[in-house]
Amino acid sequence: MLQIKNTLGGGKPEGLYAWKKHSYAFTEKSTSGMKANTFITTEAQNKPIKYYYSSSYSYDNNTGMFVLENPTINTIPYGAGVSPSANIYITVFSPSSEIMIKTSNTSGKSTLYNDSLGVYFHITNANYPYTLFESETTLSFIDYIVSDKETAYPDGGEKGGYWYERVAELNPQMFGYTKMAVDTFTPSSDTLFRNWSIPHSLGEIPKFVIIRAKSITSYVTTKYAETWNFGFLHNPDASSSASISMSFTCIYYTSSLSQGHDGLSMLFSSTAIMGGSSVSNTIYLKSGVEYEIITMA
Amino acid sequence: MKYKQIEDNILVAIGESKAIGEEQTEITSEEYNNILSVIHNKPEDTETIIYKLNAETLEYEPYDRPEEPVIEPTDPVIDSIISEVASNGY
Repeated sequence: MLQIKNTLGGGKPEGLYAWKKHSYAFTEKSTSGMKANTFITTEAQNKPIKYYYSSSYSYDNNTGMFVLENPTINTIPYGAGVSPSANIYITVFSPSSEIMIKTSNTSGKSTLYNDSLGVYFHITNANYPYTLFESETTLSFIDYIVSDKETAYPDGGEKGGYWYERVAELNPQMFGYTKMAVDTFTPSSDTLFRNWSIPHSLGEIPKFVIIRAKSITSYVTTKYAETWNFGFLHNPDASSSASISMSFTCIYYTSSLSQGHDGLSMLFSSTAIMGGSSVSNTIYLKSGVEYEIITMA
Repeated sequence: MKYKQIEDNILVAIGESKAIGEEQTEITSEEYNNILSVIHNKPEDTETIIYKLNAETLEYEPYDRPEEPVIEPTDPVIDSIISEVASNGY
């Protein structure tokens, strides 16, 4: 699949893929007065399960885990439940867990079940609520990171002490199409855009085209497309015939940094996009500027 | 693949594409970089002279600057699209 190179991060090196890099911290979160069931898992275990309990615990800020201190181990047969003692901390499957429950100050008012519904803490008397302990993750955005390797960083995961989220990249589905190709060309002279054949590798007549200059210069003129933000064409009725004549709107920036526009009539084919006659101002492609042509269908 | 495009013995462009047409010729990365280096050192055009790249010698040669064509709008649909883009900014 062809990709658009990212230039996120204000001048950092380009890369095929981009992520948001965050610092993160786990904090302990407790919800007192729980009067509803808390499911540890909704999957039936079909076997006895271990649960752990203690009068004290510690919290690991690095992993977001609650760790019971000197826990006692017990087992719940499948299809059964137990009523834990008052004022104790409970975890299931392991003494270190992301979820922990503290029972109410009166024993026998809630039950820990292991049955076909899963493993869950069930309140039997709402007058005796328990406390639910969970971890809360706080992300602080640092910067964008790019790489040519898709697996360089996780999508929604931790690596090297930081949290990463994949940044969505340009894809044809954003425009309602299924196929996309990205190709480049660099003219050797300042050349009128019209009547010039530009190859693309889409393999069929494009229905949507973006042409952009990959390098934006600070000095602009109205007629040079070196400073195009983008030029686009929407050709939804493209057929399988050899070529389609369609309008093409180019947007560029003038010396006063105000937007300008121009129009071209273009011919399309399955292998080349050819510029047609200009509508108003003549448009030139600037020598030495690398243009990217993005085609979709 | 990298390619060069030649028209009437003028090397008009280089580029990169997975598919090329009859007007393009596949080249190596080394040749691509060599041509790109020449392009980046193109002489400045003047009021009366423009420079084009000779495909055989890879040297820029001067040509008389042609008159710019005056193109009149011919399609009212295109005009309306342009007006809409200009007013909406997209």
